[in-house]
Amino acid sequence: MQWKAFTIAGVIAAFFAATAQPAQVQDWSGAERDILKSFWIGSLPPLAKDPSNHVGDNANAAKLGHKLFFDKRLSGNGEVACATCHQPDKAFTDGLPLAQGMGAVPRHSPTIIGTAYSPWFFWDGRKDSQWSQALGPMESPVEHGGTRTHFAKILVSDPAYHKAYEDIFGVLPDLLDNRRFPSAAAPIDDATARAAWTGMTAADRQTITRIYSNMGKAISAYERLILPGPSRFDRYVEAVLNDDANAQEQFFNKDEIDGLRLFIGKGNCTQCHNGPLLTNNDFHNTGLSSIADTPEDVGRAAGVKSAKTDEFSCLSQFSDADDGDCGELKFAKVTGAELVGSFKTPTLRNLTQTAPYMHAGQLSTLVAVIEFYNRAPTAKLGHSELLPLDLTAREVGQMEKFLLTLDGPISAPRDYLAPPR
Amino acid sequence: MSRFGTLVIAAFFVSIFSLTPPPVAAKMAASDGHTSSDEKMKMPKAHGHSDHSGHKPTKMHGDHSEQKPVKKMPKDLDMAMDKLSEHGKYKVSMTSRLNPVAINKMHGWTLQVSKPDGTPIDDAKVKIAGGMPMHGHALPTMPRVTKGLGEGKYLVEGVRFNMAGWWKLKITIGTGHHMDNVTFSLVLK
Ligand code: HEC
Ligand code: HEC
Ligand SMILES: [Cu+2]
Repeated sequence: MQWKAFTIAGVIAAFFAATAQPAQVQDWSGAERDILKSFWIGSLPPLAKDPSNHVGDNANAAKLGHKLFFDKRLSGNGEVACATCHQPDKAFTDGLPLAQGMGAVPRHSPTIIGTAYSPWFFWDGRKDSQWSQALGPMESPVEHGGTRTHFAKILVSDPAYHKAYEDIFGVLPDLLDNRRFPSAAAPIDDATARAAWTGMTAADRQTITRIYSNMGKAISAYERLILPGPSRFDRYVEAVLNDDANAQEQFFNKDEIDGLRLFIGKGNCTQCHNGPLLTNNDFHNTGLSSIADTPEDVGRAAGVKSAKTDEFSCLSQFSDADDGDCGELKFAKVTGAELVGSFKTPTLRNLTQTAPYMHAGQLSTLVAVIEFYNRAPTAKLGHSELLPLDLTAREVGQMEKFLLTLDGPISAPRDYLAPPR
Repeated sequence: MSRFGTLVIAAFFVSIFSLTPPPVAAKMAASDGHTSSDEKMKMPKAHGHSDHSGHKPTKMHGDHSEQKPVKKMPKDLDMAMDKLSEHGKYKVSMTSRLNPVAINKMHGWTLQVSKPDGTPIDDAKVKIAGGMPMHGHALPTMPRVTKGLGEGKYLVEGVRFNMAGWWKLKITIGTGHHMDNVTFSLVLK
């Protein structure tokens, strides 16, 4: 009786499968095909060199960076590594609304996948290179909570690090003299660490900071290899561009196609989420300050000022770039009302793994995100650039289904997606 | 098994067969080494294009923004890079130093300013603005003249276009009492 039921079910299923769904082949216009192709992962150009980091594409530096990324010794309490908040199995995020390191961080952990393509780092873009970015959390009291002398001493005393470092960057000085090189010294807010730092000679401070900046460069070499792989959406675009009707049907259903149409049409999403990473890497105010309990945060307005004066900027002595390579920093927009309450547009790849969403993790589901865009509430800080969308509940659902097709594997050497052995 | 159970199972099969696309992730995830996405993808056939019909513009702010957002790119869009300014005070031309102009690449332009009769002007004050008329957003950077090159030529640095489509560059030129401006259009693919 039971197998009979299954047979009947199978017959009914086969019948419905054959007749219930009309063909999914869509007539995308030439202009629409161009748009789809521009979002296709195959349109992602090879990652350009980072002129500020001479070891950015050095395989040994990436190996060292991989170790540093997972090393909890690089923290004030021995418990925090980059990978604490950027976990490979959560698309390099942490699943929390607001990050938690040695203390509470007032922002949400974004993914690092593909961020090497961005000219700006952090939600407010206060860093202009990936290696300089890495040096932020290491000395932040609420993240790694460490100091650069502490980090440098770990490199010198761990034989594996010592050798790896010297192979890439040249001789590591001896830092054993604790009076010359205190174990916790850095130019940070903490009064004790700061006093220890100012007590050092300028030359010794320079030595330490050079080692510290090189750690950032190695970490960046690792992060530059963490890239997005093709998603189901990319397969669908290929099928469209190849006029392959069977493959189109195979990869996208009707709701997903309608969701895609809304995404590039009525939803107006592509004004900011465009290119193969679905981000313009620019800063926008989307009115999230209207959500209760959002930490007060002016975003880019402060971020760009920070970037201009950053100790490790493209124009700094620790950068390997020539002045001519620092265009982003030199020609950045520094004033304007539109910078207030603006944050960097994030990628939309791998959204199933990066919830909750937004710079303070204010929205926990994709439906909540789309409904937020649909309402486009007035910002409490600055002015929202959004207009209400008038999407029906059904359209909200279709848009969500489309966004879910942007999930894909991480394209990286497999070893690099787990702690080093 | 009850009839109801049968229907539930049937519905389940229907939903797998007709709604869920086949699991393609496994095939794609099989990246043993680090292959760039380009290598893994088949190149699609080249395809013709027509005008970039974008999306609804959002609100605009500040003096960075273009004029009122427009719905469509004019069919006869004037793409000349060599023009008389709006009130005929200057002859202006712009030449990109990056050829072809690429998306998301910081680059420079050479600006040439002269009197309508062709006499070069070397002491002009120049302001550069721009954006995407159909999207209502400004340039992502703040380009400016960084150097006079002589014979009416100026080096404009800090231009980066961050998406495909129709862009405008508006050049405002001042010498003594004479202010005038000129707007160039380009369409990036
Ligand atoms: C305590 C959690 C935490 C730790 C530890 C941490 N991060 Fe982050 N990371 C964050 C948060 C939160 C942000 C966003 C902060 C902001 O915008 O102010 C961020 C931002 C970033 C970004 C910028 C991404 C973008 O799109 O701009 C990168 C890259 C990054 N982190 C890499 C690292 C590296 C490398 C380390 C280790 C040296 C590290 N993080 C340690 C939480 C953490
Ligand atoms: C005006 C620019 C703009 C438009 C238009 C826009 N976005 Fe965004 N989007 C952003 C910015 C900026 C953020 C980050 C905002 C923040 O955290 O303050 C963001 C964040 C997101 C996120 C969260 C991603 C994450 O990992 O946290 C999703 C999902 C998203 N947008 C989807 C959409 C969809 C769908 C549309 C169209 C309905 C859309 N966006 C339209 C700029 C825009
Ligand atoms: Cu645009």
